[in-house]
Amino acid sequence: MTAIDDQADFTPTRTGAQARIEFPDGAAREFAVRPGQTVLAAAADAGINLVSQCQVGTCGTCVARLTSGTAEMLTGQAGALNSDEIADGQRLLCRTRLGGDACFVTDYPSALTEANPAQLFRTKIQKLDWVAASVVELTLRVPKSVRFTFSAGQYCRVQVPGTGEWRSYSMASGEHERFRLTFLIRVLETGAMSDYLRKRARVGDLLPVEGPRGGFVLDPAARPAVLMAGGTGLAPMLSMIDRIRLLRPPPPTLLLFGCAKAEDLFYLEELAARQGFTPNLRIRTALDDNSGNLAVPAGNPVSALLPEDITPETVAYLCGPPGMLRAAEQRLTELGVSPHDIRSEQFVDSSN
Amino acid sequence: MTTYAAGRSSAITRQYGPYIQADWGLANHWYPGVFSREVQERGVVGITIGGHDIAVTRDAEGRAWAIADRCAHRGVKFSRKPMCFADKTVTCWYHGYTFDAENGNLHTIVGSPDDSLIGKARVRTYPTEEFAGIVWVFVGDEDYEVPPIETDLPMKVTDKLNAIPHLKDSDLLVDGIRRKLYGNWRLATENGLDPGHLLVHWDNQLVVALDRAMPLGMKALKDDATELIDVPNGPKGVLNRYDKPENYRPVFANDKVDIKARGETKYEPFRVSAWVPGALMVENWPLPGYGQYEFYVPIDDHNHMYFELIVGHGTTEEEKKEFQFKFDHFFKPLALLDFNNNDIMAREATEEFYEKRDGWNNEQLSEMDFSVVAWRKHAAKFGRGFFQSPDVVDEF
Repeated sequence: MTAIDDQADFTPTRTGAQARIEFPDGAAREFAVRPGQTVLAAAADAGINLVSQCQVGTCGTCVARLTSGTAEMLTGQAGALNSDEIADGQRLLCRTRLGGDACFVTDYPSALTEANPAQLFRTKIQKLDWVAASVVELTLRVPKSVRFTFSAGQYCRVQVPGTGEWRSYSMASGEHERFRLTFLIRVLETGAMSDYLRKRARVGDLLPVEGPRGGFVLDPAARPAVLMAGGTGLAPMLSMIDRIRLLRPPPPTLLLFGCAKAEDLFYLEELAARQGFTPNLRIRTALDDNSGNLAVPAGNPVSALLPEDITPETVAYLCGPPGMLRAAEQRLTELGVSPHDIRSEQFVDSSN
Repeated sequence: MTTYAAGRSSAITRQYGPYIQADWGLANHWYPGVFSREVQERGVVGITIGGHDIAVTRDAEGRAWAIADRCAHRGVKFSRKPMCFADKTVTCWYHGYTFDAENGNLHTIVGSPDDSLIGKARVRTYPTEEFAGIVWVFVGDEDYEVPPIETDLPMKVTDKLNAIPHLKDSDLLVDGIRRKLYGNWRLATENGLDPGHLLVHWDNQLVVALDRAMPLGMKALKDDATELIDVPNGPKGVLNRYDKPENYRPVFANDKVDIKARGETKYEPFRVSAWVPGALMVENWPLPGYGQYEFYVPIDDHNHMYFELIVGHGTTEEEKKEFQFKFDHFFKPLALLDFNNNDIMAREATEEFYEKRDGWNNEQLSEMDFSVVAWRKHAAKFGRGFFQSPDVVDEF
């Protein structure tokens, strides 16, 4: 049963009304519509980017179906909907005014209203490299049809083939890489992904990926940055550095990277190379236990931080195990960095 | 333990990762688009740079404009059938969508003048400049803050020995050609700079006719034989200092093979340099006092537009006439065509390996490649981004 009033009875609201948009994924958004305003314009005013293109009623992109209330489209032009479709409740939101409160459903998920909408897509393993005894660098090819975009620092969920298990990993690749995602994965004694990587993974395997997710992203202003990474917490930092590299001029950036022991250490040559082509990047590496590689100083990302590394403009980004994050936050606060300028991403528990 | 055969040079390529990434070219740079003479008032010339299809037109005041060469309506290229019915507009030949060439806005639709889409739809625009007989286009992200074009031109050479005119000099005499070629833009740039490639020019008409002394190779004697040039807020390039005898030892013979360098006549030493985002400057070439500029403009990952320019100095009509005569009867046939055709052959032959056998990760460089590697690192450092395939058709 629908409750759609007939066009003949339609009077545009004079006091304003509420619009509700429901998405197939269960999400819903509500916002106020002023008298005379279209639903699409009102959504934009409320910071909700509904899907649309021409915004004048010709392309049909913004179509939604009215499920309750009164809402009619401005008349006087040929539009993208025929009379049967309109009778069915379909409305072009760019041309639709409300008679009173109304509810619409879309045929697209709520994620599409976000800047980098999360998507589910299939990838193919392009390269799988053991870069340390416990660390795999996994490079996945993204099909050209997937318009995947993300912000440096975000992560994706990756499904372990042949299981229902999903794991979350930050992209180590830069946000400009549209067709290739690189992840740094710590391989544990046991675990779904760890077992897969050790025993079954082959170049060419298909892996479902869902994302991007997460709000661990760079400050929009180009500020001096301290990046502190423990182990594979290096991944989002590399992505961030790739973005910082292209800023003109690139702001001073300090990467502090620590691993537990020599056999866990990875990417030393990679980091040296990046320093070569990234102006204004400094890197300090440390090992908790450096007995296996005395060329690397003993210590950790927190102990490697010096008071003179901090300026009033510094913003700090942290990614690693909980203990490192706590110590880093404490030290940064001691050195005068305000809590607002300390952004952190904790390793997600793999059972999530 | 690697489950992927990475190739013998894959450990080296990481040193210039962003350069390897730039299969489709370096984004957010100025590139030569078309020769000025190719774009008439109300003409439309289509070009492709780094996957961006661009239409160049000219208004009644003579100013060149560049917009996306793809109608917002059904996606056809404007340049397929040029149509301009009003000053500073481009009309699509198919359904008459007419766009303002300056801001890209839909100005009118020929058969639907009160269409409500008018003023709403648009195509993107590209910044242009015009000098040296070329319309230059800035190609990259639409919101990128456009840097001065001088940052993307070979630098102005100031020493007296190599007085090659800069492309913005007021006494510049210039002519050239462009041709679309098979081969990645990087292989083309590297070939020109490569001091080891002189062998392909051993028997070229220009060299033989001038009896020009041309070594078989140039052995670098110092680490800094190739000079890294980083002009603050200016050009970024690498220069082979062939003019400094202490930097290079020319190789004239190799007794293990039966070949000797030819030519008895010594000319002013020429110098070769490569510039971000993909240009070559050859000083004192094809003759002392002249110069050659080459631009390897990426079209896609396997094709580039090859711009070849000869430049000289002069302001009087007589000097212009003499330059043009030399260009038509010497520089173009012997340098741009015969001589450079040997480079083109080399580039095309290289492309096959890099395209099908992942050459970037399987090449085997030697000492003579030091300047190529220097160029790669420099381009990795100073490129402002990279183009990627605009295609949306799946590969798997």
